[in-house]
Amino acid sequence: MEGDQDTSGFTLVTRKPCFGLPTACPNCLPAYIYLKLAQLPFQLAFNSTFPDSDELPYFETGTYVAYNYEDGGVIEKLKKDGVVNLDSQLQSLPDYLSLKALILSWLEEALAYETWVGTEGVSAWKIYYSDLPWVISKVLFYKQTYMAKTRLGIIKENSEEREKQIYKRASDAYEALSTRLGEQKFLFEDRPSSLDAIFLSHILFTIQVLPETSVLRTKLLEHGNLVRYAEKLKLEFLEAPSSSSSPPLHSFPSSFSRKGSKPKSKSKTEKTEEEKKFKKRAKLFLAAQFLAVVIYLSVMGGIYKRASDAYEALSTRLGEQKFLFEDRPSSLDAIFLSHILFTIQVLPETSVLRTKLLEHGNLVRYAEKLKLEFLEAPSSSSSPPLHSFPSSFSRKGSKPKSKSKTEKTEEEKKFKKRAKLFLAAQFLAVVIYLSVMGGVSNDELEYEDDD
Amino acid sequence: MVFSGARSSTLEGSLKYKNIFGHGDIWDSSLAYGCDNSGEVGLGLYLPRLRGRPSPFTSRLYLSTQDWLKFSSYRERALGVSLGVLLSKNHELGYTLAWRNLIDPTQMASRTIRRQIGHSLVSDLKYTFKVDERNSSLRPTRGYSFVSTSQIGGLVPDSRTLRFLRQEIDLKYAVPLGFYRSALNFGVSGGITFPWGSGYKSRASSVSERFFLGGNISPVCSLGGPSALWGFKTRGLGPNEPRREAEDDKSGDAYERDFVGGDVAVTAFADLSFDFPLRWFRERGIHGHVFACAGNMAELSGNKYRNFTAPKFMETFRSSVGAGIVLPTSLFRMELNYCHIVKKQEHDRAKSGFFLTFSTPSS
Repeated sequence: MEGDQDTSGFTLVTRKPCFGLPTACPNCLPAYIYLKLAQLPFQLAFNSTFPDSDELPYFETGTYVAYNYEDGGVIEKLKKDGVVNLDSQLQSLPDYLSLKALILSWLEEALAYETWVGTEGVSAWKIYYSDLPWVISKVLFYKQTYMAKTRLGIIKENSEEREKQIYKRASDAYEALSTRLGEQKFLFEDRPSSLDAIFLSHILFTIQVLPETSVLRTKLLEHGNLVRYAEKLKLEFLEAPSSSSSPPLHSFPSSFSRKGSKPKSKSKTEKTEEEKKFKKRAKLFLAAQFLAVVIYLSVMGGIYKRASDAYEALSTRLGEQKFLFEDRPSSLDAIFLSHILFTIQVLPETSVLRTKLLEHGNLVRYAEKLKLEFLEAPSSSSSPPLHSFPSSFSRKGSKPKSKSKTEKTEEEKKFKKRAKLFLAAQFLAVVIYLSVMGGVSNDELEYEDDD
Repeated sequence: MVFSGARSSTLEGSLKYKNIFGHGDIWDSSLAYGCDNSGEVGLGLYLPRLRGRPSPFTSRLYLSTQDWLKFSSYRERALGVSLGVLLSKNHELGYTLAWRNLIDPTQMASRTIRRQIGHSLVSDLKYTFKVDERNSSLRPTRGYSFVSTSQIGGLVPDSRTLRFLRQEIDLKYAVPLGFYRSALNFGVSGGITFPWGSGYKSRASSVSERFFLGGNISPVCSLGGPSALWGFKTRGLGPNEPRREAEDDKSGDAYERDFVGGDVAVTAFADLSFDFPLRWFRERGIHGHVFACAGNMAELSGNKYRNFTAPKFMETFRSSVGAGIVLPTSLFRMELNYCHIVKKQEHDRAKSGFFLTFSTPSS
C-alpha cells in the first residue's frame, strides 16, 4: 500500500508509438534503438501529455533517472554514468566525433525543419498531439512550430534561403555518410555504436514518418546503401523477438523497397564515377569535420565550455604546424587567425574567452607567426599596420613557451582527451570552410583536383 | 476551483466592482497567496438578479499556481473558467473547464509524479449538498453539519479530457456538556476518487484529484472532506515514494520522498472545548481544548486496489492526541496546541511538539 514500489528493471519512457515505429518521436527513437543495439532488456512506457517537454525520453531504474535534457541527451548520460556504453573504444577514432557532429547537427536540423516546417507539421501533429484535447493541442502546436522556426533561425525574409541551405547540408551529409558507410553493417567496424542508433533513427523517421512528398525523404532515398543499412539493422535489432514490450514494427512500405533496389544497380555502374568523386568528397569531408565542432558543441554544452573544448581540439590538431592543413594556408587559417587576433587584441583582459585562449601557447604562437609574416610584412594592402601585440600578450605568449616545456609530460597525459576534442574541432571546419566555399563552382573544384 | 487538499493558511485579497453594466452585476478580482507557495489570480462575476429575478449564477475566470515542490515535487498551473449555480440554500452545482499543467522544474520527482507530468484538460461537474446547523463555525458548541461533494470529470465527447469520479463526505456534530460552555465536537470525513473510462483499473488517478492529509488547519473548522490532522505537516502522511537520486548533496533538501496522495482517505476527530475559569479569557472567547484525531489514506488506482485490504488499512491508521488554547477572532481561529503523535508510519512527517494552526470558517 505504501512505501517503495517495485521499480526493478529498466524502463524507457518515450512518446507514443506511431507510423509503425515503437516511438515516433525523433528525440525518443535514438534512445530506444541505442538500448536495442546494446541488447539491454527494458520496458517501454509512454507519456503522451507533454509534447513541449525536453525531458523526454528518460530512462529510469530504481531511483536512477536519466533525463534527455541533461549531459547532452539520454544516450550520453547513460554512457557517462556507466549504464551502457557502446562507444567505449570508438571515441578515440578520428571519424567518431566528426560523424557524430555531422549527424547531430546538419541531419538533426534538417529533420527538425522537415517535421515542423517543410511538411507543415502533418506528422508532428500525430506524434505529439493526438492524445491531447483539441484546444490544448492547437495552442501547443502553434507554440512549438514557432519555437522550431526560431531555433532554426527562420524568418519570413530568409525562409527560402534557409530552406535551400538546410536541404543542401542534408544532401551533403547523406553523401558523406553514404561514402563513409559503403556496404558496411555499422558505421564503425563491425560493432554498433551510438552513432548507428542516432543515424538509424534518422533514417527510419525520415522514411516511415515523413510523408512521401517530403524533400528530405526523397534525398535520403537516393542513397540505396543507407536504405539497405537501415533495413538490415531494423530487421536484426528492432523486429527480432526480445523481452521488450514494444509493439512489432510494420515493414517498410513497398515504394521504399523499390527505391532501395534502384541504387543497387546504380552503384555498380557508377563505381568509377564514385572513385573520381572520392578525392573531392574526402576533402569536403575533412573540412566538414571541423565545422561540426561548432554545431556539435553547441548541442553539447555551454558557450565557454564549447569554446574551451574547441581551443583544446584545435591546439591538438595544430601542434606546432605553421598552418592548419599541411604547409599551405587555407581559408580556415584566415578565419581562425582572425578569431585569435580579435579575442586577444579586442576583448578586454577580463574576458573569460581571452583567458581560455591564452592557455594554449601554440595557438598564440601560431597567430603571432602568421601575423608577422602576412599582416605586418610590407604588402600592397592598404590596411593600416596592426598594433603590436600588447606587452602582456607577449609575456603571456612567452609564458606558455616555458610553460609548455614544463607541461610536456602533462600534455602527453592530456593527449587522449585532446584527441577526442580534436575530432570535434574538425567539424568546426565544415561550417567555416563551406561558408567560404559555398559559392565555389564544380569547375573550380576540379581545377584543385588536377593540382 | 478546487484546490488540492491539505491546504495551509492562505492570505487573500479582493476588489469588488458593482453594477458596471447596470444589471446589478458584481465583479471581483482576487489575489490569494498561501503559506505553501500557492497563488491564484482570479476574476469573477456574480449576477444576483437577472431580468428582475433572483439569479443564482456565478462565474469565475482564474489563473492559479500551486507549488507542491517541497512535498510532492510538482507544481500545478491552471487556467480555467468555473460556473456556479446556487440551486437552493443547501444545493450547489458547479462546472469547471480548465487547462491544467503539472511540471517538475527540479527534475527530482518520484516515479508516480514523473508519470503525471504534462498537460490535461479538466471538464468537471460538481454537486455539493451542505447543511450547517452548528451555532458557530469558529467555536461550535451545538448542532451538526453535513457536506457531501460529488464530482464527475470528463463530461465532454472528447475522451482525452481527464475522466474521474470523486466523492467526499464530512459529518460533524457538536454536543454541549453544560459546564464552562464546554462542548464535545466530533467528526468523521471520508473521500474516494477513481478514474473512469477504458482502462480505468490500470490507469492511475490524477494527483490533483487525490486526497492529501495534514497541514496547519484545525479539523474542527474545516468543512468538506478529509484534509486536516493535528500534528501532521502539510501532505505529511500517506503513500510516498523515493525521489530521484541526487547526483550531489548540494540541494539541501531535507525531504527525500514525495507524498503522492491517496485515492481513498478517512479522518476522524474528537475535540472537547471548554472555557477557562478566568473571566478575562472568557470575555475574549479564549478557551481551551483537548483533542484526539486519526486518519489514513491509500492508493487504489493503477491496479493498486489489488494490494488493498481493510485489515491492513486499519493497521496503518495514524493518530495523535493533544491539548491547546484556542484564540478565535472575527476572521479566523488560531490554536496553539501541543500534539503527541500516538501512531505514525515510516516516512510520515509528524512529530510531537507545539503547533500553531489558523483556520477560517470556510477552510
